[in-house]
Amino acid sequence: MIALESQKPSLATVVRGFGIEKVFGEGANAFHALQNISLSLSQGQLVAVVGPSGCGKSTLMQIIAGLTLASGGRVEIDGQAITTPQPDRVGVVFQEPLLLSWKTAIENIEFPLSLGATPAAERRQRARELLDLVGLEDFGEHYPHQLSGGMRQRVAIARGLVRNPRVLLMDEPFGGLDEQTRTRMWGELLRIHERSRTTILFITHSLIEAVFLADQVLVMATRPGRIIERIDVDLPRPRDLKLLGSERLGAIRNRIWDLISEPTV
Amino acid sequence: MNILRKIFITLMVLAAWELLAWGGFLNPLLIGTPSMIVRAAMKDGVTLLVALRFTFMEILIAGMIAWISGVIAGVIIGARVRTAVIVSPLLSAMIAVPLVVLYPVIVAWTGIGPISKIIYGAATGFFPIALTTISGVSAIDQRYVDMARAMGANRFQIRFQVIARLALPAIMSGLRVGSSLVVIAVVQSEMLSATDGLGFWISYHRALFNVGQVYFGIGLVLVLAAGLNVLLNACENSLKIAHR
Repeated sequence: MIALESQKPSLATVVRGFGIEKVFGEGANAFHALQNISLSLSQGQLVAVVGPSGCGKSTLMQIIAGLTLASGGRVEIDGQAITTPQPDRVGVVFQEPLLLSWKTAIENIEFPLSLGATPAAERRQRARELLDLVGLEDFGEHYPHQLSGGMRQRVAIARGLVRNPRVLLMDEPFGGLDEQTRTRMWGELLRIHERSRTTILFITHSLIEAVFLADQVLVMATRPGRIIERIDVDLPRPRDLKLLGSERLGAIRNRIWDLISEPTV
Repeated sequence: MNILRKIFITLMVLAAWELLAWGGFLNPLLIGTPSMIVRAAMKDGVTLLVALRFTFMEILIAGMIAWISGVIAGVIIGARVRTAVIVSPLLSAMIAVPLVVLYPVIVAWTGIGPISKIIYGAATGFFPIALTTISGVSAIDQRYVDMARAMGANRFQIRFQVIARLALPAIMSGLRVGSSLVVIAVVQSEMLSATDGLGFWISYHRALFNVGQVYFGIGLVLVLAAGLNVLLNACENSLKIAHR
């Protein structure tokens, strides 16, 4: 089980972004990738960011993860500014699982802990808990090439959660999976979210995925990348895969589609 | 059955060699005969086996220095893209320089004992190892670097726990090339000026027209090279390259 006692009962704001800007290049060649992005995620919230490719979603994630410096604005987690990677506050799941091929599943989950001073026994114990959380308790000794694509991404999710971060960033984590596996992973992610109550920022270009998973969807437009709308998804939780065909979900999806397909916006 | 056939073929070749030399078709002074080699082994075998151990130690030390310095330099340089772009062509140019021209200088500095062979061998092995490591390291998927940074890895951990492991197949091929160059360099430098070692004794006996000893020495060099190859294969297998 994931430790819940460290989390406050109130819906405190975990992640806050104030006027984040990102400009690549200089002078006439400058490219405004992100413009005045502000966002806030409260404890346990699952927020999705959608937008066309090239709208700066991944850059935004890199900035919140502390991997890239913003040109302007600020990112705070629990009120503290993020300018470098802080694995105890921010966990990351990338588009590809990026597992280390010479390590077993459980060793991959332990990897973030092995970089610090956590004792080996404690690391193993914690990794076992996460292996159990993502439903791979029987696959700990398997190497990545012995696992399916969906299993590999579940190991990556466990690795992202192993240091018990305040927020988990997910950058199109299911983009590389086939449709059936992806749909199954949605159910899996909702279950993991339900159990761990971790705050999640989920980046995707799939509208259905965003609406089905999230409490709130931030809709981005491109050139410059900016948030054009925040849509609260009032679908009840826990959510069932049957919801995917529902009219309510479809209506929200269509609203977002209208927003991003308007060329003048 | 297969092994028996191989032994049989080998014996046949040796017998033919011996008979052709006896029959006057081959000049024993140029290519020796199996019986000369056996006689040489009985007379000077111990000296040559001691020399084999001497050469082996030189190769081992020179190889270790070349491996460690080459891999560390390659990982550090290769992980910095801009540095790699500047340094790689310089190192490639260094490979083209016949380092043997520097050997007399090394001897002048460190004498004709084993130290000069170790320095010369290590320097010869260093360049190809460093160069292949640089190219292997700069070719890795950079997203793994982001991943490791996000997980909290520091510079050293990124370089040696992630990048170097990802580049391992390239590094191994560099170690292979580098190791054979070390063997060549050490034996070659022993032939030029030395006090002991296989190269020294081969050169010594050649000067005295002791054809059997020369061929026995050459055989020992082959055994040495084959043995090192087996050692390298074992290293490669133990590093689990299969898990890629």
